[in-house]
Amino acid sequence: MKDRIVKDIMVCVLSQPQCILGFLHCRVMTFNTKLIIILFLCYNKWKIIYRKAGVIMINQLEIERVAKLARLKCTEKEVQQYTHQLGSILEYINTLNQIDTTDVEPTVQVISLKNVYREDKVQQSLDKEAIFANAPEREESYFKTPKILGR
Amino acid sequence: MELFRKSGRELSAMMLKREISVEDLLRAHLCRIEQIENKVKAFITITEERALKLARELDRQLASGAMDDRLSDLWGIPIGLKDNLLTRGIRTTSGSKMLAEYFPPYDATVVERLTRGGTILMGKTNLDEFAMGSSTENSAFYPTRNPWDLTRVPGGSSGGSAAAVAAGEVVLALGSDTGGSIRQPAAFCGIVGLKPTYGSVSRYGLIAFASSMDQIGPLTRDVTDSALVLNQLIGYDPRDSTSVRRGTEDFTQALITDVKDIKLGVPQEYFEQNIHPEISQLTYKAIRILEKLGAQVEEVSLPHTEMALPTYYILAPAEASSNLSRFDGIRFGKRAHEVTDLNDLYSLTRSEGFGSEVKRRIMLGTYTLSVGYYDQYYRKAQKVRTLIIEDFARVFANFDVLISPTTPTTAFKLQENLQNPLAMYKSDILTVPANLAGIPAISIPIGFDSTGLPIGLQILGKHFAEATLLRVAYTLEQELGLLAKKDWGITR
Repeated sequence: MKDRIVKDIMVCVLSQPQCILGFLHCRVMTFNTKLIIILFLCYNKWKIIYRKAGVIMINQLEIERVAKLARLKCTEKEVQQYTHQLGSILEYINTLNQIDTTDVEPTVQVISLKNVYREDKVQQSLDKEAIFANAPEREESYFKTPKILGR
Repeated sequence: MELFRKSGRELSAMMLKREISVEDLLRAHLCRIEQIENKVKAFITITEERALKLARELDRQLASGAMDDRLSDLWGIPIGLKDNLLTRGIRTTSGSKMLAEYFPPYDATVVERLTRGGTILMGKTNLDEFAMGSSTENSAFYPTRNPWDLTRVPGGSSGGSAAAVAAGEVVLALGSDTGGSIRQPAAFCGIVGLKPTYGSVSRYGLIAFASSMDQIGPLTRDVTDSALVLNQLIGYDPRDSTSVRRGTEDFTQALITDVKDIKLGVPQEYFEQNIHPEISQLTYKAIRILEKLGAQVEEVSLPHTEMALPTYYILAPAEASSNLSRFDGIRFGKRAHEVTDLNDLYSLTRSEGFGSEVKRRIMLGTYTLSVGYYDQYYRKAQKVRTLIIEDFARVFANFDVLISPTTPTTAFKLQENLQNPLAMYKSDILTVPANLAGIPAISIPIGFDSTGLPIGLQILGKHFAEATLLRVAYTLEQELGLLAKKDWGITR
């Protein structure tokens, strides 16, 4: 729980470093007071919802972080929608915590297959032209992409 | 009876006896498509020209006479394929804008096998985008409608396949089932849908959704046809590393009306999931029929049933978020324009290409797999999955099959659950446990509710016990005699 709060604050701080840094350098308040104020600001700005047993539901900032990881661009409206919808899905999913799984092994696969190998032998592969026919852009036998570094 | 109401086995026999030609049969179905496809919208692509050419070719082969002995039971039969099964040179979209212009360079193994069996591809059927959904409303193209009531959904994600079979547009179709995507639409459309054991049917060429659960199976008008399709589909394939090597089995041997040696469990928890009373009543009636025929019936308990759905909604999106990372706009599929750099290309392509449910699941899966949450969600779910598997193992030590309803409700209205993802997910509550455990399950029609909508019954079995499922299903089908009474196709 405590780790989570600190983590959330860190995320907030990192997102707006210039103002938060100035704030932290001010010497009028003790560190604890600053902490409380930052917490309050985070709570208001991103509406972090603390639920029973200290479980933190997903917030907008986290949605933005996840969208970035997933290489998805979300509109403001989508971010709000996902915050709400994923929040309620996660709440439902959290019912799993009612189950004690202390000594349970996680499932790896459902049928008893052992490692599957094949001989390291050259085989007929798919037709190159049929593959490239679906490429958005090609140059000779290469897939062409835009410049990888910014303009 | 019109040709489009008959089963594959009947039609195949008629063709071999030269009562009808392959082209006659195909034209009967094309005619049906012309009549109703604009209302049902079961297909994304119809391959009419190609089908007619193949039908004439098969007729020539039949006329030459040399083929008869080697013909499969599905020879000349028009089929539909869910549009997440790759077909060489035929557009395969997976219901997504991402693949709207994708022409696969190879056939899925199941497509190869059915082609070898002499079936004729009529077209690619509609689905929820990347098979994510329970209503076919998540298709990027258009929703499919339930042939029994056009204001209702056909179920999903194999809704196009189920509707096409129920409406008489094809004799049978293939679907894929990750959490109920064959069985739930089969139940909603009043047909038979079978999810085989994990590993028994090759998934090579199936566009992956959740690889630890995806399985391909048939949607058919009767149990017999399901056995015929299984005969073609099941078998080892070195190109799918989860494919299991087993001896060949003739599933038509299982088509006998005999359940005297069957021990049948009735999982209590499955009847406690807000099941519509008409559905549980009809299910119990069917169980009593089997009991009267000599099956030994007992109540059983699968205590972790309640946990199957939350477990599924951690694992399936997690696997999906990983599988769908291949859609990056580089090698195939859609690519966004006007981008500044490579990362921008990825995220713009994906944001434009994926629909909202797919994005939602990618987000959910990315979240539960991300640093700090993996143990809390993914690992936890894999542990609960172990408990669910152990529940089944305990019960199957003493019982041959389990019987439950397939769905808590009959087909719901279009739009009814679209704004509430969680309500939509709960439609799969009785079907996901089989996918988590990898066991086979079949849904067969057992009657209708008071508004005339079909009701499905689910039979679950042990790993690789498809023959037992088919025997119980066949017995019940023959006893209920619904096939003779049922009016295929649009009733209103």
